[in-house]
Order: sequence, then structure tokens, then C-alpha cells
Amino acid sequence: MAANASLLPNSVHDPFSNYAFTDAYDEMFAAPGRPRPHYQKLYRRMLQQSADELQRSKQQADISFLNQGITFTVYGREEGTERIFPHDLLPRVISGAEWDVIERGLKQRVQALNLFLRDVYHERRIIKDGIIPGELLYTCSQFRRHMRGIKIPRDIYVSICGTDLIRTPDGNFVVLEDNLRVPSGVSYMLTGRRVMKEIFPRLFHQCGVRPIEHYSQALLATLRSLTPDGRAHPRIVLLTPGIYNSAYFEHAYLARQMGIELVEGRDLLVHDNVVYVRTTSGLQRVDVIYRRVDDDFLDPLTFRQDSALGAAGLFNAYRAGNVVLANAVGTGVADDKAVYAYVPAIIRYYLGEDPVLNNVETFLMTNETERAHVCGNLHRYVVKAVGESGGYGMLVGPHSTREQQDEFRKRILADPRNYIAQPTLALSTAPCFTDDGRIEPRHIDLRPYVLYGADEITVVPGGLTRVALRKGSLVVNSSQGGGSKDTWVLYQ
Amino acid sequence: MIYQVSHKTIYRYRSPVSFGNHVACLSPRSLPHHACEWSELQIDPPPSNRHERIDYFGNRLTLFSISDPHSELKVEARSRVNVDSEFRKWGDASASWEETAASVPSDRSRSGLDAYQFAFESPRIRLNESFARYARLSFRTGRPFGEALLDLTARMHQEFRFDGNATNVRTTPDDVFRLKRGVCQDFAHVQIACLRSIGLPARYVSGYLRTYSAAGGAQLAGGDVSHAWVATYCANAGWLEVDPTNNIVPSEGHVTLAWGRDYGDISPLRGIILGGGREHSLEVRVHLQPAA
Amino acid sequence: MLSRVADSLYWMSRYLERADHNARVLESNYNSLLNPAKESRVSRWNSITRSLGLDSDLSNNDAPWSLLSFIAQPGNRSSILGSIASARENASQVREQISSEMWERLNRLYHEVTATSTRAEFGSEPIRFLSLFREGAYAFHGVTESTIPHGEAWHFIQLGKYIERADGICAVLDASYSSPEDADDLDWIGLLTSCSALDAFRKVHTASLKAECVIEFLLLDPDFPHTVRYSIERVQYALSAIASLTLTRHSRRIERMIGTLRSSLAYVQIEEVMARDLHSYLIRIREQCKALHRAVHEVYIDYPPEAVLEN
Repeated sequence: MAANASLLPNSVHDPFSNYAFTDAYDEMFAAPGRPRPHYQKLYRRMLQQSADELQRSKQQADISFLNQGITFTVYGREEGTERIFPHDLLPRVISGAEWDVIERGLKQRVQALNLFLRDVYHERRIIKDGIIPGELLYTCSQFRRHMRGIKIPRDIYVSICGTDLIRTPDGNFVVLEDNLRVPSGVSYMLTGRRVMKEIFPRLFHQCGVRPIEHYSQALLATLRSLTPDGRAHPRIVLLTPGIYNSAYFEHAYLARQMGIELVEGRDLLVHDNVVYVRTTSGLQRVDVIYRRVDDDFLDPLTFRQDSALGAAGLFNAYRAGNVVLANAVGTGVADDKAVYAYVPAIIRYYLGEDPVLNNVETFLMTNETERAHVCGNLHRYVVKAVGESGGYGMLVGPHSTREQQDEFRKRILADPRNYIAQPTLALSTAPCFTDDGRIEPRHIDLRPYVLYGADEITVVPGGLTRVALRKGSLVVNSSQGGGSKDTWVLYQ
Repeated sequence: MIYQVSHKTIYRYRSPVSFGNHVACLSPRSLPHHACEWSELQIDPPPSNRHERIDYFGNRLTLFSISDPHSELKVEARSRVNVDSEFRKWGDASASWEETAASVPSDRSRSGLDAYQFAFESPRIRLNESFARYARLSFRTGRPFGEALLDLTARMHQEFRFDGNATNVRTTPDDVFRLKRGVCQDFAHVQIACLRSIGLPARYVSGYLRTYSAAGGAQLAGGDVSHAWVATYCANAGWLEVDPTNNIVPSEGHVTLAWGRDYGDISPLRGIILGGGREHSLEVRVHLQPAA
Repeated sequence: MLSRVADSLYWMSRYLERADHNARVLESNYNSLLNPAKESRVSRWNSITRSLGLDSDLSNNDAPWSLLSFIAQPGNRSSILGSIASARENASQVREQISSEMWERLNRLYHEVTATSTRAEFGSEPIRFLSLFREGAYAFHGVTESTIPHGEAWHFIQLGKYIERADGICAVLDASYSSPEDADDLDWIGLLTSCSALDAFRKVHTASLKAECVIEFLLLDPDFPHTVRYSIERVQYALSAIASLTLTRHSRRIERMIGTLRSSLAYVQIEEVMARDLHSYLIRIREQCKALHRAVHEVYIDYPPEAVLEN
């Protein structure tokens, strides 16, 4: 640390004195005391700031989050169901060159997955050609038979996608999972940025960070580009499950940002295959629905009959081409965790290209040899249920007990199609500001957001960096003690 | 044989329904040697709009909404279907059943690909080892497919009792299997579960049944209401149908309405209503008569 | 504006007004009950609480404060606590449409009254408890006035408040006047207090508490906010604003209804009312309010799809 002596203020304050290195790739440091070039400015700033100043910045950020009403809902509490979304003070920095690879990879992936979806709901060439087994499709709970043969505007099934990336110890970004149904978290990305600019205006300016503020406009443009033909002034609405949904804050936030109506299923009415929203000025025709309601709940007439979140007849209006849903119905078949294992093959098959971003090695529990191997070594693997998200239904082998492993072994054997396993990965670490005022490494991932419209694919530079705030933890989901960080993608 | 079919459904609601959205699966399919010459759906009160479409499995659906307040909904499906004796004739089903089952996953022919999707669990039919054990008593090693299928059908007919009060539409195949009682829908579900558990594609067929045999023999069960039976796929012979409720191979006496993975895919009439009170009564009357 | 949102705003406002009104009525009547017991006052209390939908008859032997326990009755929708809970529930459905100050006010009121109602001293200090509602409601009206645009949402809030107020004043007038021959000055003071109108009344009529004057004031005074006429005028103002903002043709029916009601209040003489039958006069106004409420619901909230598609 001697090399930094000149930078230190007189009081010899080094917030990194506790920074413990592990096998994981560290985003900031190439080696102890040697920050990577794109982290230099942040590093120096941290050294110049006293512990008190950092603490004050942290408090200021918390207040700013509270004032913006950035909260998430915790289930099962009568009162005070809302909490501030935990946010780390220090931004995560990505160099321009690194980002360019990510952006290319994401565009490639979303294109291939859209082609895949079009195919599985039409000709099913990929199965006929033996690239993926038909069984995978027919046993996937997210395969929506109703979508067979339906013409989707511009063949865009997934127009809003959030892909989870992690960085492995060799420094490469790999895809952990795709979220092609109703990915959330983008509001935290946007509000987090706003707070960071308040807290570190000069640093932000000096670093040269690519902007993300146009996300809402890009989302609106994407939705508008999907409008059915002949509807010159489309009415676009955001369909939310309602105030009890954990992402309600985000729904309200995005609707406000885009200046569109936030509706619930009970506001909609389908008449003669046209969807209307019930307003005090009468029924108004709806053209595009950005829906944050799962397929199953969209239309009790077609899907779950007990659903009160959708509108009866909505699917038929959709089928008739009178309304557009974004994302399309049935996209979950492409983010099934077992289908995930085939995404590199899917990219090669439809685009004739090698994947820019690799997958994490994945074992299918339907495969007997792979199953036997994983079941014998559960302590080394992460086991995931194929249809779950948000960190639920998951076993993290190295951190699990004997009993948990036995339990999962039973579950896997009872329903092999429902599980996959992946080797435990050391997610990369980034510096985080801890409660006791130090800076320590914590594991992080990255969820960039991709918008696929009729005219262009937009990847907003950055995304949501999720942090496992507990020391040593690898689980970054907000429902499981995770938080977020602002993500700075530099021009250089 | 030409049939006139009438299938009448009446819902009576406790209090008036102000708005209803419904899907009917009541128009018979047209198939080779099974021609639906015409069909119509009469709905009372008259719907404010109606649309037709073909579903994933090729069945004919009618979607309609009613926006006049009503306390009774009457839907009558009438049709004329010509079933000739070539229909449902089994092809060669003498290959061993294991061979047949093993060929399915790799069969990339159009019909093979289509059949394969019926080999898995579906929303109302969950598979387990006890179905497989039961099936294997008939599907013994090396046995010809057709023979094994008939044997399973006969065993089910013998061991399960027809009982209209034992089950309802929500009863699971698992429960029926334990109770050994039920109606045609339950038996079809159980037999499908057995077949799928040993890797065979099987689908649920709904339709109607002539209730007297042509030779003037015994009354068959399942008439005067909708009927249901099973079809299973055999690579060389195509779809083979069996009726576990009556232990027969469907022939001229069965009129096919629709098919799917299980009852849930093709329930004859379902809907979402506003109002109507907590209870309603349902009356179904089916008439199948040979046309002059 | 979404019909659902308009509906929630309307009910939020109605329920809050109901809680406020009921609390004031109970508070003033409780005060008069503390005076030496008098049979007529007990039966007046009973008829008033019945008119509020608080079905709890008091017998002569009950201590006045014992009866306050039913105010809370959390399960009872028409209890004051029930009204506050309903107001809050409606507000929570439309939190994005109201200001955060409004939500915080209402939420705080809800938490204060539920917390107080479970405490032991609640029974011994009912007045303090009841005054929470009044203060909470004033504060809510205040922030509503100054923290959201006076557009459609605001007009629906006004509509709910004043339609409820007109109905509430009619109800309490009717119940209080059921046996005027037994009424004494204390009872009239109680009635005026329950409409926060004692001071305002004295300014107009001095301190002479003639029954007719009290009735006339609460029914027909055009300037005091807690009178039937004033409330109906506010209702008319809100409705015509809503009609011009939404541009539905179906609003004409509503305009006729409110126009009739308003002019009948503007031109009637109290002597005419008293000469005929106050009771049936009040019943008629309440029915007109109900009809108005239904019409609003049918035109803006829960209209049949055809009615609108035909246009």
C-alpha cells in the first residue's frame, strides 16, 4: 500500500485496509493496491474522502431514496410493508470495451431467442431438425399451446428482456439466465442513477459515464413500434397485478415516466374482440398493453380460470390482432432453465454464428448420467427449479446442510424435468460500503435491459448491478438480502 | 351411419348475470370417414358477438359473449355427422409395445411429432409409478401393442365400477385410481395416465355414443350425456381408440367431438360471468339418433 | 381518468366524511348525556345512533361512557373505525393518484385511532378519542386542497365529501326532530355542535334557539359549509366540472337531477317545509342524493358497455 501514500490525507485513512481478496474476479483491483484503469478515478476519490464524509454521503443517499419513494414490498407484514430498496453507495464501473462485447452478445441472444419462439409456435423446425428434443418443449409448463400459429406483430415475441450476467474468475462475462417474461428492476436502475448524480456529481462528470435516462422514452418507442397497423394514435397502457404486487412501485414509476395509464385487469373490458379501458369519459380502445402480469393470469377464459388479474376475452382479442401484448404470451418457454442449456445451439442454428456471450455449464436432471453425478455431489452444485425465479426453489450446494441436500435429492428424483444444476460459480466482487464504514468486496451480478422494437434493438448502457450484501453470500436477489448498485458504463 | 346430434346445456343462475363471456367446444370435428355435414350452435339469450376458431389440437371452438342481463343460458349444439365403418379401423398393431414406445421420441414424421406431445403429463393428468405398475400387468414384455391395449381396457372395465356419484369434474386420476369408481371421463383419465406412464402417447377424446348396440343388445353406459374415451398412438397403425367404460373398440357407434391432452383442454362449455349469485344449476341433455 | 380510480377517490372521500360526521354527532350527544339523565335524551341518543347505522341501544341505567365501546367495533363496517379503514383502503388503491401528503395524513389517522381504540384509557376519555377524527379530517381536507391539481380527481373527491355531508345532515336533523316537543335548548345546542355550526348559527340568529331557526339554518343556509344547501351546491359544482372534463353525453341526466335538487333548496321557504312535514321532506332529499349517487355510478363508473359503444 506504500505506493498510495502520497494520496492519503494526513490522518492515514485507508478505507480499503480490510479489503480481502478471494478467488473471484475483482472488478476494481487487478491486484492488491492496483486498481484497474477504469476504476482509477473512483479509487482516488475514495482515498481522499474521510470515513465521516463517506458515512454522510451514505445517509444522504438513503434520504434521497426514501424521498423518491423507492421501496419494495415485503410479503406477510400487516404494517409498514414497504422498505427502502437497499442500495450500495459505490458505483460499479464497466469499461467501454467490455460493454461493447456485452451489448453485441445481448443483441445476438435476443434475436436468436425471438427466432426460436417464432419457430416453436409455428413450424417447429428446430425440433424436426433434432437440435433440441421435443420432450423439452412438451414438458415445459411455459409452452403455451394457444400461441400456435398466431401471427405476432413483426415477429417480436420478446420486446423487453433482462438478462442476468455474471463475471467468472477468468474475467469473462457469461449468461446466468434470461428473463423473457416480465423482468423487473429497471426502476431501481433509473432511480439509483439519479441519486448517484446527486451524491457524486463531479466524479460522475469526470468519469464520462454513458447515460441511461432515455430508457423510458426507448421503452415507449418500443411499445409504440408494435402498434397494430392502422392505429395512428395508439393507446398504450401498463397492466399491473395491483398494489399488492411486490413490483407495484416499479409499475407506477414506469407508467408515470412514460405518461401512460396504469391499469388493472378490472379496468379492462373486452367487447367483440377489442380491448377497452373503462374511464370516466367512456370506454377507450387499447392498442398496446405493456403487461406486468404473468401469462397464467392474463385471461381467465383462456388460462387460469381463478384469475382476477386479467380480463376475460383478452387472449382472443390478442389472437385477432386487435391488441398487442408485450411481451408476447408464451415467451417463458425460451427462459426455461432447461431450454437455457440449449441457447448456444439455438444461436448457432438460427443465426449461423458463434455465441458472443457464453452460458454457464448446465446439467439437465433429465439426463441419467448427469443426474447421478449431480445427486452424488450436491454440495458442489447450485440446483435450480426450471420455472422459478427470484432465487426461490434453489439449493446452493456449498452453503447447504445435509438435510437440505437430501431434500433436494428427493425432489430431483421425483421430478427430474423440473431441475437443473450448475457448478458453484465465484461471482465477481466489487467494492461495497459496509455498515461500519469500511469498503469491502461483495459478490455482484449484472442485469442489463434489452428493448427489441420493430425499428431497433436498444441496450441501455449498464443495467442493474445486484449485490449480495451479506459477506460471502452469492445470492443477489432482493427478496433474499440483496441490494443494488449503480452501474457506470464509461465512454472509454 | 348418419347421426343427428343434439347437445343441450342449460345454466340457471340464482340471480341475473349481467355479462358473460363463454367458450364452447361443441362442434364435431370433420375427419376422414367421419364427416360433420353441418353443425350449428343456438344460443339463448342471443350473444352480442360470436367468433369461431380452431384450437391448438384442431378442435372447433365458438367464443361468444352475452351482454343482456339473463338468469338462464341455453346452448344447443346440433349437428349431422356421417361415420362410416372404415373409421377407426385399426391398422397393424402387432409389433411389440416396447418397440412402438421406443420409436416415439425419435419419430420425426409429422404424425410422430404430433403424437409425441401426448406422451407427457398434462394439467389434469399427473403421472406416477402406480399407474405404470398397473399398466405393465397388461403391457408385458414383448407383447403385441394391440393385444396389450385391449387387455388393459378389459381389466379396467372389470375392476372399475361405473358410479355417477363417486366423483366430480375436479376428481384427480389418482383419486379415481384408488376409488376404482367413476364415470367415463375418470376412466379415460386413468387409462391415459397408465399409458403415458409407460411412455406411450395417449389423448383424451370427447364425443357421443349410440346407447343401443346395432344388434339390439345391451344398453351401453355413457349415453345421453357426453362421452369420453381414449386414443393411443402406435407408429405403424396410427391412433388406436379404446373405450374403457364399455370395454369396446369404438366404431360406428361413437361420434367424435374433440380431443386434447385431458378434459381441461376440451371442456364443452366454460365461461366467465358477472353476477349470477353463488350457485347455479346445470342441465345437460344429449340426443344421438340415426338420421333417416 | 380510469373509472376505478374515480370510484376509489369518491369513496375514500365519502368514508372519511362519514367518519368525521359520525364522530361529531357522537361527541356532541355524549356531552349532553353527561347532564342529569332525562328519559327523552336517552331515547334521542338511541334514535340518533340508529340513524348513523350504529345499532346499540342504550337503556336508562347505562353509564354514558359505557356505550362508546361500540364506536370502535373493528368488524363493523359502519362503525367509525370501519369507515376510516374503508377510507384508507380506497386511498391505498389509488396511492399514485393522490399526493403523498394525503396518503400520509389518512394513514396516520388510521394508525392513531386504531392504536388509541385498543388502549385502556380510550373508554375513559372518549372525547379526546372522538376529536382525533375531526382533527384528522380537517388536516386531510387541508392537504387535499393544496397538494393536488384541482382537476377531475379533485372534483370526485369533493363530490364524495359533499354528497355524504348532505345526506348526513339530513339524517341527523331527522333523528333529532323526531320528537321536537321534548327537545330543550341543550338538545338544539347538541344538534348545532354536531354540525360544527353553533358559532355560525349564533352569528346569524343570535342565541335564541328556536327549533325552526335551527332547522332553517342547517337546511338552507347558503354560506355555511355544514348545511344541506351549501353541500348540494358544492355537489353541483363538482358535477358540472366533471361533465365538462369528461364530455360524456350521458351526463345530462345528472345535470337535470342536481339542478332540480339545488333549486328546490334555493327557493323553498322554511315555513312551507314545517307546515307540511319535515320528516318526509328530509327523506325526499336523501332519496334524491341516493338517486344522484346511482346516476353518477351508472354514467362514470359502472356503465354497461353497449351504452358507450353505440356512440
